[in-house]
Amino acid sequence: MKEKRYIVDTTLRDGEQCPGIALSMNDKVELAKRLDSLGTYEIEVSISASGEEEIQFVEEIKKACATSKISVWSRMSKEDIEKSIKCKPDIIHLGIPVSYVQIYHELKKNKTWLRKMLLICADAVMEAGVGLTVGFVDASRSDIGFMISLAKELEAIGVKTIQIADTVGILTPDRSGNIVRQLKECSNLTIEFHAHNDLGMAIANSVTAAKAGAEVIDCTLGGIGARSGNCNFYDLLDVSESFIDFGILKENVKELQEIFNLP
Amino acid sequence: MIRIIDATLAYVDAYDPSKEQLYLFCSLIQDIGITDLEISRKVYEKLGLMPKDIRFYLAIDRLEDKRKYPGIYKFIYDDGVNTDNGMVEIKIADAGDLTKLNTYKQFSYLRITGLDNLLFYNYMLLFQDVKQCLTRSRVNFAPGNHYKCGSGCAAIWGINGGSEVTTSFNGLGEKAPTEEVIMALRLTAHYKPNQKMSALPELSRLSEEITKMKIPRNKPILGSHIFFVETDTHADGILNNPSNYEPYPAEIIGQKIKSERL
Repeated sequence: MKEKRYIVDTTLRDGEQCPGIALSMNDKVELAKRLDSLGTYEIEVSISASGEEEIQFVEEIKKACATSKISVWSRMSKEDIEKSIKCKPDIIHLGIPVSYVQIYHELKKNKTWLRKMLLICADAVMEAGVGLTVGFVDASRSDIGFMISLAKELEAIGVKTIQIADTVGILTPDRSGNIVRQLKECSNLTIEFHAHNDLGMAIANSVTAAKAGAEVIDCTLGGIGARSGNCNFYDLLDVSESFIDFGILKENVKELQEIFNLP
Repeated sequence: MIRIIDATLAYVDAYDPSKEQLYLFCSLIQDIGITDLEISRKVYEKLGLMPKDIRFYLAIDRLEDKRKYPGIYKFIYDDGVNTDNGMVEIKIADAGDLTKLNTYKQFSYLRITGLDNLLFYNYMLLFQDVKQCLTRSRVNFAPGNHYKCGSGCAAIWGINGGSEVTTSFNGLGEKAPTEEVIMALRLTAHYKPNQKMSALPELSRLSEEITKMKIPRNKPILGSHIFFVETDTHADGILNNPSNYEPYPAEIIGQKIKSERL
């Protein structure tokens, strides 16, 4: 029997970072509508709402989609969270840096600060009654012990889903599977896996992550995204159709790619 | 140390490359640290004088044909052909068929091709089975790339003790792409960490010239736009400190970060 898994399509958020890809507002709404009709579990539509236009955009997408959950990505700041909440998405995806490089070099902060901010932001989202996914940004360069301790803290405050993000695309299939497996062993959280294709392994990593227990896999149409892109939606369905049920027909994804002229 | 055999020149016959192009390929692939090349019989004839410091591998039909090809390091034989200590190639389409390896224990050098669906299975157990079954054999793994998982399969073989893989530049012939496997092993298994790879852009141009096929601009390792940054906030972060956001420095592969601010 096939294992049941779910897709988050992030074409409109991460995919749009692909150089040369610029969809009009109408195209984005139409694309979201079609993704919804395919049976996509969640559609990630934007990054931290910046104003009234963004709020209206999310509202339009929600109207156009019957069943897909609509999510917005937010940095770990109170201001961004407040803006995201105003959009009334189904889910706010809170991106938190978990690697030494990101915490200490990029943000010039420390783990104590991170834990404090994380709890403040997570609390704000949950208090607002919005669904929450906490994304472990740069997980591939993080310490597994640190990620496990964060996962346990998040579960204790009521978070249900965390995302493992291979932000710089350096994971291999066995490491991807191992990270997911270790997190599943220490928590009951739903694990979402977000791969990048810098080493040509986004699909392989997503397959092993799914087999190791990640219930949700992030994809983009045509695998578009920054640098070498993300996990290709169609290719993932193609490779996994004999053992995973994503509830989506790959032929429909192919057709959608062609309609929007995505590679 | 893992050995990578690049089989690009075993798949170029249809494109009729010139002798000069073949020589240039040999030179450039050496520049990125590959010194084991599989070639076709046509390529062998075109090369004439074999380039130095490269070990060449060639598939032949019969043991007796060896003498026609002086300068070849190892010959490759199909399953079932009597061999000397050359490489015997076995095609295994499905990872569930690995049990048939038992019949190949007597060969000292084996190449396993196919296994495109390796990741569907518990591949660590399968690797153990291979090693336990073929204790006396040197095993080369040449995963197929039908599901675009070839480089992942090759990398995990190398990382988990496999001694050899066969790949091809830009995945020609539906093999795991050489450049992806090299970089994955470099980043995760310290494979040739100081090896210069700045010849990659020229190899890409040569590949496009020979095959008349453009390499997609977002192709991992080779794409012309993989270090092109378009968004505003992201560009600031990358330009200020690229290592915070990039998997490896662009300069390693002969490229530079390019940005266009919005």
